[in-house]
Amino acid sequence: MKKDRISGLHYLMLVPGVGFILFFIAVTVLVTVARSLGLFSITGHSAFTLKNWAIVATREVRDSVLFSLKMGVLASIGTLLVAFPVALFFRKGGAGKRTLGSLIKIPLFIPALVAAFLIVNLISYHGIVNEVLVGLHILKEPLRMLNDPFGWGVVFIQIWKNLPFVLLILSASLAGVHDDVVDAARNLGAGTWAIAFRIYVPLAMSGILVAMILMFIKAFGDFPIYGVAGPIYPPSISFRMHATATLFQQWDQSAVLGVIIIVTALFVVWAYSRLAQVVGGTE
Amino acid sequence: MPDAPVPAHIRQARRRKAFYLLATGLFILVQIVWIGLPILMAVMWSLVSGKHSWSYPDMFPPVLGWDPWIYVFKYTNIRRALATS
Repeated sequence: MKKDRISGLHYLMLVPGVGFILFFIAVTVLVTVARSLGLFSITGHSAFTLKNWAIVATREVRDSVLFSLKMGVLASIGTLLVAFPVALFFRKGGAGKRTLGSLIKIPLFIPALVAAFLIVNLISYHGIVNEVLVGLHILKEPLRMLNDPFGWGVVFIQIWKNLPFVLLILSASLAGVHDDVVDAARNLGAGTWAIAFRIYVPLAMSGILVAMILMFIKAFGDFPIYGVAGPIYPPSISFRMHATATLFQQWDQSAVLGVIIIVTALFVVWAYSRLAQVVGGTE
Repeated sequence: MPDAPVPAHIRQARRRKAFYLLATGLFILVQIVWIGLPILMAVMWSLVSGKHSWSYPDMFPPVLGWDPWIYVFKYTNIRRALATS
């Protein structure tokens, strides 16, 4: 059989797909990396230097990176903990679940900034949550949930906003669990908790990991929710990146922060995929 | 003749049904608070009358009005912003 030879035409035919990726993704990332190294500078002289990376050693940048990492981890775990039981509840059809399913998806269509403002109304110092808790004598005085130093307000809004997003992934994953497996486990004496943790969780693990990766990346790179409900210090890394570029006009240093965000996201994706291999038993 | 005792599996099925009903009811309630309350609050805030502020300890706006809507459409660039978005 005659073997096809790869010609220039073949490469040309790849241009619409590969060209798009190279131009719009690879080039923008490469320019950001180059700018962090002093090249393609838009505000001054372009020359290779590592001095922009010195900001990584500053306490402010370290605090921002740690804060964003904390938000990413807590938001992904928090959303998962809330979404998983809800996904189990929706797994089987039933009266009114279609309507409830539509209702719960509403935050998916609300932009993060608007979602943050919606929740601010609830969790502010004299917001309805504090008033109810004080009214029921659960609290003596209102809690500071908005702009709190730890960032619980941000975590709460992330959970509220991203619950339907994670729910969609988990529901698809749980739909793949056959009823026969659950029935067999129940027949062998497994209780509700055993079925949840030894049947549903392991069989939906791929979906759980994907949901956690995407949720982490969303929360790690968050800008609007921090901007509305985050603590005064430290700012999230995206917020610091924006301030470094527009407020302080240090575009090269801002590129360093951009590279940190990209590298962290890539590292997390890599780590989770390794974890998925280990959990899935393909390693 | 006394009624025959209800078999255990039917009792269990009834209990499970009651539990599911209760769980669904609770879930609906939580949903209303979780989704409905934030949106309701935002709608109420957009209808607070300009002359009567809504502040602690009022649970609801004392007087409703279209003032915030009128202000936004009269004095801000909302139309251009909407068109741009």
